[in-house]
Amino acid sequence: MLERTTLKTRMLAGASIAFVVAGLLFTVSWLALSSIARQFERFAQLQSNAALVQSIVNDTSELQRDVEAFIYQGHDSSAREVYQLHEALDARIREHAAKPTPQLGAGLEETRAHLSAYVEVFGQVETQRKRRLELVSRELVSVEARARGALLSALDAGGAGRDELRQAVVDFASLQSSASRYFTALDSRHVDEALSSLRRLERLIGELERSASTDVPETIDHARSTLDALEATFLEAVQRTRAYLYLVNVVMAAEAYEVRHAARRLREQTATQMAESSAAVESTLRQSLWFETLALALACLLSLAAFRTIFRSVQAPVMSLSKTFRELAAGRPDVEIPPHPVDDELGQLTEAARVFRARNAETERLLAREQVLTHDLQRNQRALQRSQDEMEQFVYTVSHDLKSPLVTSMGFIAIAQREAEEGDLKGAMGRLDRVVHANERMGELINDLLELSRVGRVDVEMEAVDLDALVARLAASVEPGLTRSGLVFRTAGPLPTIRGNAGRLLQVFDNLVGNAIKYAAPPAGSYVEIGATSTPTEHRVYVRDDGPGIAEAYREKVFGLFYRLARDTSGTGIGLAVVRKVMLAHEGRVWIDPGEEGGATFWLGFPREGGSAEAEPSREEAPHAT
Amino acid sequence: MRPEATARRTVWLVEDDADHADIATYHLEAEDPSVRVERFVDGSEILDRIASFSGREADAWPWLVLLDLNLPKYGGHEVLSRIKSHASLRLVPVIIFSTSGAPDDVERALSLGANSYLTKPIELTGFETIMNTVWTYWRRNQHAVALGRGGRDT
Repeated sequence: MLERTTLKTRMLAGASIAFVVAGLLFTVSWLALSSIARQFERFAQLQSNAALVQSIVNDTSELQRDVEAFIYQGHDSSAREVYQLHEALDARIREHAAKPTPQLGAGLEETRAHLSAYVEVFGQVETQRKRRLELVSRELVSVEARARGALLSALDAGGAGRDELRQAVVDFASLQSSASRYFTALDSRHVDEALSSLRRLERLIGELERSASTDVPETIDHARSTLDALEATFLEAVQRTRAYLYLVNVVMAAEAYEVRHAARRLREQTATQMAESSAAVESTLRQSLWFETLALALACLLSLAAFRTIFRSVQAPVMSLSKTFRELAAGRPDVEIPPHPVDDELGQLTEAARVFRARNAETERLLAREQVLTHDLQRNQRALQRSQDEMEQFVYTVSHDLKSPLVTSMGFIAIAQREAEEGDLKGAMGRLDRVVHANERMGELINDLLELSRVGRVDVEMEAVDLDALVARLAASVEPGLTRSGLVFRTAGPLPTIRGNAGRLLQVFDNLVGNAIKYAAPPAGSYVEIGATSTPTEHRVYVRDDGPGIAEAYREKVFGLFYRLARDTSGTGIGLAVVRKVMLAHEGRVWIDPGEEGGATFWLGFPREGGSAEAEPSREEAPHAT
Repeated sequence: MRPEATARRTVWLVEDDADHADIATYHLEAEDPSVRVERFVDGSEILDRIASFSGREADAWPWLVLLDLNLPKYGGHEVLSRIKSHASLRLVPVIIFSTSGAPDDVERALSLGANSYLTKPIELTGFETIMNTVWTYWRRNQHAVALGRGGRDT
């Protein structure tokens, strides 16, 4: 997929991935931290709750102390303090409950209810206390005073003895003292003592009634009723005191306990909540740390992988392109160029490499072409050189061979002149014959040269030549010469049909057979034979005799112009030069092998159709090719 | 009487062209009627002669060798080098007498030890002049050859 995106896109993708990873990391961190912050907020709230609870507990204790102070001392300031404290507490609790997230909820409400109940009970206690106080310190005192008066008057009226009177005063004092003791010490023994004192006084009254006259009962009744009133009042006071004590010791204590319990529960609840919150914070912190580490590691891995992929996707083609360019710079035209499907900077470089390669190929092609041209040029130069050499050789030979008869003519003319001067006319005539002969020879040479020039022309018409037919014609024309020399002429096997000029070829065979007649006639030899073989590139026709043969040193020289192996035979030495010239005009060649049974074998090589005319003959086959 | 007047001088003429040989012989005899011209028609003849030459017969000693370069079989250069490497014949003056005046031929002949190089003339009196010069010059310088031969001729 990356291969199909541009370089710029890849880099942008890398940057985006980095950005996204950074963003991811930031988000994760932010989430974790905000979660921790929330937890801390809750913790702080819980802490303020705890403070609230603590203050409630403290204030409750203060309130209870004030209540107790009031109970034991009865100062109104203490009671006011209690109410004020309660009001403040209640307000604080309500304030907390009015908060959007009152975590203490039920516990606090319960505490508040108990507190209200407690303060309500305190209100009752206050009332009871007042009433009792009033009863004990006012009613009872007045009833006691009336009862004492009535009693004393009754005793007085009844005429009771001194002892009895004293006894009643003591008892009454004892009654008063017991009652007083009870209300201060709140010991029920004193109630019994007071009641027994009262019984004794009643008995005293009773005795008095029985012993006294009937006119006194009014005072006694009065005493009796006042005593009864005293008893009732005392018992009511006791009753009230007991109720008050019940309120204080049982109800209030219970309520106080409830309040303390509620407060404790509240504290415990808060403590639990705080512990939970603290644990939550810790666990969140730990989770965040773990998660953060994981996220960081993942981000690192992801970034690394992304960067590695992108880097590789850029680096690999760049390196491969660099290698390609190095190879291209070395001039290689067949460098493999890695494909790059996108038109970005790398695509442009790839395109440039392609152009480079095309240039290299073009250069290579031009170089190859130049090489071919150079090769052609060199070949042409060599051909030209050869041609020039041949020309030089030709001129050298021609000048030498033409000069020779001239030298002869001049030499003999000079001698003839001298002999003529001396009167030896016969001798002079003889010299002139030699001059004529020399000039005839010169004419012959010139004719031969013209002939050679004629056969060497390359613009002759070429056609398919059946060599069998040609040799049949040849046999007819050389018949007289053969008969005269006694040489046997024969043909071996069918001869090929080649492309050439029949007239010229006839001359070639004529010259070769003529050569054989000249050198291989009996007794030197006995036959001349024409045959053929073929190689893939050449048709080879031979003319073979069993004459003396040609020494290896002369096998090339004999094809030279005017070269003759023997002076005593006729001819100018142009025949084989003509043969070679005609063969060259046929793009063929001629060479000599020693015959199998001695003698000479002239080989004519004609290039085959389709075979290369340029094909060099292998050296083993034709060591003396000309 | 001076010894050279009585002694018959032998000239080795190596020439394949019969006409040229006849003309040269004519002029040599015109210079000195007593001259003996020994002729060779090709390279192999003269080489055979060199190979069989003993130097004992006094008259057979060549006084001069006239050598054509363009010979059938062995060429003139080959003959020249054989003569110049021969134990006793090397002192015999060898005069190249060729139709070719090509610088290559001249240089090669001189480097092989030819004593002189003359081109066959196409002028009417050329032969006469050349043979006269050769004869006059080499008769004068004959003492060196005679010394080489151990004074046999003197």
